[in-house]
Amino acid sequence: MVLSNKQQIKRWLHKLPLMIDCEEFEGFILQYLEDELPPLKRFVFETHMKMCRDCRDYLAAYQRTIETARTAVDQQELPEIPEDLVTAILEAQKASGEKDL
Amino acid sequence: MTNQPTLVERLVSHDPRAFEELIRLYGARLLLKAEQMLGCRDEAKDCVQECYIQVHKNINNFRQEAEIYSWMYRILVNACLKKMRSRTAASMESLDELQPTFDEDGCRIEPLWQSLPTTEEILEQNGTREQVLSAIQSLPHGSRDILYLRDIEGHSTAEVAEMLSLSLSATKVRLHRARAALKKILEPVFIERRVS
Ligand SMILES: [Zn+2]
Repeated sequence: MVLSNKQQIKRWLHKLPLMIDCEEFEGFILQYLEDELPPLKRFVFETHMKMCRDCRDYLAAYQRTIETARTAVDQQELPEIPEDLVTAILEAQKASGEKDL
Repeated sequence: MTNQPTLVERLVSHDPRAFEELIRLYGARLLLKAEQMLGCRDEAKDCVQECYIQVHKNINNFRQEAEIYSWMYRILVNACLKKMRSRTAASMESLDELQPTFDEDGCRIEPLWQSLPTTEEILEQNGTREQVLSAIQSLPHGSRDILYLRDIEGHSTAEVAEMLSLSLSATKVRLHRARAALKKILEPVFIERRVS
């Protein structure tokens, strides 16, 4: 595989002090979003995000996924209540009523 | 509003028609909620049924000044959580094949997003809402339940851990992996939208 200059620079940058690679970045995402990263780690995380388009895009798509999932569920329409469920509940009610007597 | 106390009174006095009225009044709302929580219609029906039976048994203890629907809703949510807890505890899924990938230098291998569509753009397309819903349902229970409670219902991660009787650290790991997996499953939906 031939590496582009950009990729080579990225590899080199990852090895500098206070730099992390994308895999380490991945491990910090949840803590970052939960606002649990201590200041230095947060700085390191945000620095990687500024420099790395792949991780920036990844995190944006990750967050968009959450938002889309929430909205899709919120927009669900009310179903009709299935008649078999009505019948089942009424029968279970009768059965539990008989037990109580 | 005005006829609600009457329905409760009729339930208390065991009016046989009142119970069916209560099923038809709130059954659909409760079923939707249970189905959203559990991602499974059969399990959702079980919980709705259990909720109504609890109501039937405990209607005499119901404080009438409260809203009966809120009471039923709490009973239903508890029944669903109980179901979630039992299946989450047994769940050992890894979702490995849906996790992000990296090369040997730790560099992310990610499709390039020219521009990420907004949630509105994604969902206004025909059929995508169903695709998103079925993607959520396709996650294994243990991951789906955590994602549902955290990201859709909006509980904190610590609350979710408590609701499902899981350790906080296990909840965090599973939550992140569930989100990453869902993102991976939804990539075609995002990309299709971008191209069109
Ligand atoms: Zn990166």
